[in-house]
Amino acid sequence: MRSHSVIPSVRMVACLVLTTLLVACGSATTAPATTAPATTATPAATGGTLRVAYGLWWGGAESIDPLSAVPFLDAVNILYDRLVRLDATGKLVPELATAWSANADATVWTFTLREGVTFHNSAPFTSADVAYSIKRLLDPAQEAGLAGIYQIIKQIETPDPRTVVFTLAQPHAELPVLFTIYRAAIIPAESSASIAQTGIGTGAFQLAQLNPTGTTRMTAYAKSWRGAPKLDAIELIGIADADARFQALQAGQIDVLLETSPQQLTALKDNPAFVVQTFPGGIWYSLTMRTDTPPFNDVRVRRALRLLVDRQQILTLVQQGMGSIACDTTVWSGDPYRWQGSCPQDLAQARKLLAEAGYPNGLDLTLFTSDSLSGMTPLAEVYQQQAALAGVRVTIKQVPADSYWTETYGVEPFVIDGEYQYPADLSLHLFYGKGGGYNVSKFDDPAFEQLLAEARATLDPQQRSQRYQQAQQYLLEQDGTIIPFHANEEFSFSRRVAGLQTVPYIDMRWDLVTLAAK
Amino acid sequence: MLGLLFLAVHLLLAALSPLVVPYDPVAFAGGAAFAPPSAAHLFGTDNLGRDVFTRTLLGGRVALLITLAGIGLAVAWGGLLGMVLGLVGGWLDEALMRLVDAMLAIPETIFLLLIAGIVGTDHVVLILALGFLYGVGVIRIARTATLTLVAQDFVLAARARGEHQHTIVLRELLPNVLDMLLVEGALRWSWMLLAFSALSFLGFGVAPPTPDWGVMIAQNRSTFGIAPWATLFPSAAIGSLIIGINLFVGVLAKAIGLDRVDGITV
Amino acid sequence: MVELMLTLVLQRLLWSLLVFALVAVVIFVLLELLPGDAATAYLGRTATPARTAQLRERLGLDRPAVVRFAAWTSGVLRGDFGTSLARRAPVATFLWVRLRNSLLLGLLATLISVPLALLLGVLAGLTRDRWPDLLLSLLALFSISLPEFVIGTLLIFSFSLHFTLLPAVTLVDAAAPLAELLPYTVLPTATLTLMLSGYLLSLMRTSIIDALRSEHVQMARLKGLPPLRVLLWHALPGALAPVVTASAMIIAWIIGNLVVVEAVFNYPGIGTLALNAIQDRDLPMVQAIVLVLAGCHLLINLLADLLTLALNPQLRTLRMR
Repeated sequence: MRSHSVIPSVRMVACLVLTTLLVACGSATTAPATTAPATTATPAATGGTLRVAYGLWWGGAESIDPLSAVPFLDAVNILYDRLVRLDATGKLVPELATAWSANADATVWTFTLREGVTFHNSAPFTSADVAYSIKRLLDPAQEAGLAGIYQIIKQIETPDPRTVVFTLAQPHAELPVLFTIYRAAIIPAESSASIAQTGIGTGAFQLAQLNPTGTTRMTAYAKSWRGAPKLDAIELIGIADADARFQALQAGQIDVLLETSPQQLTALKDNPAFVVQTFPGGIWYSLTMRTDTPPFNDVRVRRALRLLVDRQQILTLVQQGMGSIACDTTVWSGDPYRWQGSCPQDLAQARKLLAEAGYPNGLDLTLFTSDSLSGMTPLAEVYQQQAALAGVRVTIKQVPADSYWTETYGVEPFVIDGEYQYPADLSLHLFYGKGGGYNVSKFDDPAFEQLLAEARATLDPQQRSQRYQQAQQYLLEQDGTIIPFHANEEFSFSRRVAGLQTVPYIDMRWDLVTLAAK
Repeated sequence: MLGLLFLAVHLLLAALSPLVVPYDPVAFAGGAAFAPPSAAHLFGTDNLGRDVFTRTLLGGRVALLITLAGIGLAVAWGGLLGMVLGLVGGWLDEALMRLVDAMLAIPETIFLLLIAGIVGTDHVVLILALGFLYGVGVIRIARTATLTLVAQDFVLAARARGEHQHTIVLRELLPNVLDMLLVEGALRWSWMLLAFSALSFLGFGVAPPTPDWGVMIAQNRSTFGIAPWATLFPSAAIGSLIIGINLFVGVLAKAIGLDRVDGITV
Repeated sequence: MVELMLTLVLQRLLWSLLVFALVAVVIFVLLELLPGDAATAYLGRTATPARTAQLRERLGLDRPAVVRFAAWTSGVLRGDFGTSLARRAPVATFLWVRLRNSLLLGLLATLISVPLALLLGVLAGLTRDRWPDLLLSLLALFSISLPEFVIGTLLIFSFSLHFTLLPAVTLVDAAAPLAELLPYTVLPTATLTLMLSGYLLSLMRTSIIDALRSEHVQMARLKGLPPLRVLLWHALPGALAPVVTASAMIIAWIIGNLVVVEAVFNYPGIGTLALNAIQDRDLPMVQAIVLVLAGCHLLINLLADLLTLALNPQLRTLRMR
């Protein structure tokens, strides 16, 4: 928030994947046929075109293929449906699947699919489409880097058009959770080659015009299985600059802004023309050390560098208090598997550990950051001040936003990262697992892997929760990722808009949103 | 005279403001964000709750320091080279003036952004870049003025006496070109200030959190509707400084009988 | 006579081409003089010997400077400006459409401000030191003294946020048809017009005052010719010539320095492209943009020279080199 240029290249490039708010909740058996997520929609108005700002995270290279390395997140969420989804309360709700069940040891999962669903090209939706879409997730050659997570699926069978059976290589008590993220969107069978152009899905809106740097227009799909949506159309308008997005909202050029900075929020708070909606979420920033590179390969150094952190101060200064303190876990506060530990600052212990590790006179480090996300550089600056108290001298190197995610992050030994929340199981595998796509700390620990495998295989929710929490506690002691806080979700929008749910925008049900006439 | 007054107040503030400002200019917790002007915060507070009055008073210091050094450098090297070229003439003059034409065709803002972006925004780098760039324009002005002088009696006489070129430049030409260079320098100083504030505005000048008008405007303009004071006061500060310089230039130019039409040619 | 004219025009053209060639050399040398090269600049702090060497090889930076200059210029002559490092596509795919958008702004601002400012300048000159002149001169003083980002911000607040009449920021793609782009050009054009008009008005005012004082005009007055005739036939032609040259310089300067105005309005022009390229340290892109903008600068000044020639026959011989 301090480093600030007029056109910051706010582009999140490779590896930074914004994903869904996923609250893994225990009950993985059958669910009722239809549940509408909680909504504040008023039935007053229907129709109209809703204009939503899109941050151009990939600078115009966006693709509407759900498995692209440069996914057009907002459009992917609108165009396609998933088998199941998590609602605002963190409950699994049916989407294209109406029911699911597992065998006794959770190695065979059977999903029953919804009747009467059609794709935007009028083709009927069947089990073949599901098998095809999920097989794409298993393909090691996919761009999204998620194959490792889905490798436990050994076999996919389609005994009839309404049934899909997944056979797993090892037990997984919460397989459906893996299908709740936008990456697991269902596309028509054999459409891999064309999906990036057509965008044909089963969603409530269909693609009319695709232009990420300009206006991407999606119109109501009248034959949607959910019934026709309330809006006539949604337009995603690409604006790379955060200030320009905010001005466009104020000038009435857009109706909805889904990422609002704490300062912009303060500015809008008292304005009667706009509504501000904030709620706890799981966006997190981290200081990430490579555990395979000196001096961070010494666990005492890693412990010292996290003991010197004053998390409350970071939350206050970087995020203006809009978030919650975290003890280095990627699992957010609303997740049932979140470990609620405490991690107070302890400068004396930090100094002691550094001395033991052979740095009695402190340590010189270089921390890499960029202006890609507004909180990154302030986090580096505050950490620099705190580290100095323990004799750790941090030099901040700021790198251009454009090349940060491709050239710096994942390469340099000490970097600032910013990521989105995933359900506990996905998150812990992705960020710390041996084959995890986003394991920037290069954490490679058999004991940790063991805990995760046990959690997946445990059918008792109580014991499973215990394993996941133990895994997080283990990370606080062993790994090199410092996560001081999780940030709130912050939406701001015109008073004419109603029905936005308290879920991350990537999980928004846009068919429930309405726009009142001027 | 109004111009001189504006200018004097600005220079005085730049020199003395650190002694008089009521708050720490970079303290985040100075007050509530976007607080309107009050007795405690005369100009209100900005997006981070910092005192706008304090930051506005301090916000011209770096800009004035860098541009004064820059314009001094520009007038010195551009003026000298221009006089020498006007005096010497010949192929060297021809060749260098074509180079000057080429340099003047290069877009100024992009040139400055490039230097700041690649080499850095260190004060010395910015002074050298601004001094170099603006000196190129001064060359042409000084050369033209010299050309009208070299044909006059006192220069011809000096040449007839067999005086060295550098003696002619320093003793005969400089005193006659000096007041013109002063006016030109002042005018270009105002352009340089505008260019520098643009650099800051674009994030390539003064690095936050050091207070600077361009940076302040960049950081607060998106919330203009809510807290106009955070943008208006630094805008008024930079505007009054440039207006002061322009009025001053007008008075100077009139005093020495310089035509502004020629003065404006880049 | 026609032949002489033609020779003069050709001569000017050749001079401009020579200077343009020099610009190419100057840009190349400047970039050579900067610390590091395109590869180290782009990779920045993250450069490792291996990655730098790889990028150097891809860009052909291991060749001697002269060879690289020859390769670059021969490419430019064929319309090939190289490949953007950050956007990983030919520079030309972004360059021309962005230039089109910027020239649209420049053209609109020129078409509005030149007639307006010249007319008001004459008015100010004629009413010298009386209230129309004082008012206009004060306005001009403000317009040349306020940074463009202040003018732009005030316009956005007035016309987009307070009265929601005009868009605050550009929301269309760079390659959008001109018709779609037009609504978004209103406020940037207004900002540029205000800036340009201030300079042009002052110029015209001074020039007309000078012309009215000239012997030539005094003679006409003494002959008892009607004042309007004196103004239009005797004062104005002489007064216009220096204004044309100076205006061209200012307009050319503005075209080359659209960065700030475009940034304020999020306008997809060549200025914002340059800003992004510099933020990305994408030197091939920057190099191409600077060359093209310098070309525009020279072209505008050339046109003004030719216009002056046409306006004022006496100058033809005087300005011959």
